[in-house]
Amino acid sequence: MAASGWGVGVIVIDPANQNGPSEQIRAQIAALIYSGALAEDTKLPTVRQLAGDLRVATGTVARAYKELEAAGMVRTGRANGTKVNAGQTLESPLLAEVRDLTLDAQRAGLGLEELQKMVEAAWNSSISQ
Amino acid sequence: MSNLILIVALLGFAVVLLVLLRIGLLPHRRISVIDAMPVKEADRALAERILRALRARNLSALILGVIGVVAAVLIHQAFITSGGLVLVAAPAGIWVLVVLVLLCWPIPFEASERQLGEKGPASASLVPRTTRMFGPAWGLVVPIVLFSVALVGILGAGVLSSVDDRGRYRQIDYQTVTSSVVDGNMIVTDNLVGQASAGPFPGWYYTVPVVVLLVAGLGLTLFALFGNARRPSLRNPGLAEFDHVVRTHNGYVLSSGFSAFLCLQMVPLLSMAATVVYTMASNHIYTVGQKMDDGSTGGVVYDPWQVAFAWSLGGLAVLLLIVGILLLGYLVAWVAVAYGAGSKKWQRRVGASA
Repeated sequence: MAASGWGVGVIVIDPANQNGPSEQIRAQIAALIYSGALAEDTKLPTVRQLAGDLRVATGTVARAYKELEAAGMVRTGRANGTKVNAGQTLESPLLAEVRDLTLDAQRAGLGLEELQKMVEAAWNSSISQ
Repeated sequence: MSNLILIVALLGFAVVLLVLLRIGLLPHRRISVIDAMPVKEADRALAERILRALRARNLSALILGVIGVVAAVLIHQAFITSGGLVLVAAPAGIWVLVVLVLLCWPIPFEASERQLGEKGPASASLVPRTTRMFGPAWGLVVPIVLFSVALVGILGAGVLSSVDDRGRYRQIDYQTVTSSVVDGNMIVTDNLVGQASAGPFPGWYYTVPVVVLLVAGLGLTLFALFGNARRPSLRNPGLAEFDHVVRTHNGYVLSSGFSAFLCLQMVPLLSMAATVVYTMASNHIYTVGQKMDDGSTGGVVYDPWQVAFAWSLGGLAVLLLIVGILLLGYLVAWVAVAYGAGSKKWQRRVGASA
């Protein structure tokens, strides 16, 4: 029996988010590809599956996939579905720092939302300086 | 008398099933839906809603299956001249009813409107879901292979069948010794080969309804299995494990159920074929030179190949009956899992009361 597979990559659509659902999907998949969580040739779920799971229209997911394809991050074949392209993982020091930050936050018992608020506050304060 | 045989057969079937379950001959490696229930109070409302639906649809399907068996026996009694058509086609017919119940009673994936309130965030895994992820590894292969083999056998038997005196394709014609030539002194001088027929044989009369029901059963089962993978996941990632267990549960119920009824469907057809082939194997042949007026009859000669074939068909029928009963036991055991059977909580409760 296969595992449930939720550890590989989970994306969340928040109706309260200012960005539309399509952009949220695109940004989260892109982030997972950049971070290497979605490796080369990893098959993405079908538009129908993702739309059903996220309770959005199939066109919304299709638009996100199209934008990812236009950015060269994924490719869509008729029979093979949508797969991650090679060479998309970002190997920058920033990524390592983000990973360290995440681990530190988890060790400190912070949730994702709290960490996001902290990053948001730091971002805003750096802009105002 | 036929009533008594049917009742005894049904009771025997039920007793064997209960004994197999009771003595634990069927391996218990089932994932408990109860054990997978979420701990968080906030997640429990939806999980309990799903569990209630799972129990209700499984129980309804089982009850409909039992009603189907009783109805098949009663219809057979009412139309006794049908040559047992209803009984022969009963397994496939009952499965079609069962799978229709499972299809028409979907497993919910959203909390009720009252519980849901304002729609919150929705999450999704980026792992493509396939039918093979839920249920047994043999979940698709065994039913399709069994169906294909059954179809080839059924079509072969249909082609070989011939009409009986009422115009129904339920017997088979074959060459055999039909008469003897005697001389003036009533001494047998030769045996003449002619055409004979034997039945009931699983010809088109039986196999056309069975094939129609089997195709419908396969189509509906595959549709239900694909639907099991296609169904949207639950909003909350905290319910991911529970969702996976529910899909696995459903996959096992569908695969073991269809495989069981396929095996049981082949039993009456193979039994009829075995009996007919055994009949075909015997020849009443008079020895040349034998005097016929002394009241003697011809000696019975069996064709060893046909006898072996008949025994093979009979053995296959018994084997499929056993496999069918085991798979039916699996099905019942999986249904019982939704009621807590085999769960750690249930085992603790049984242990405490003992």
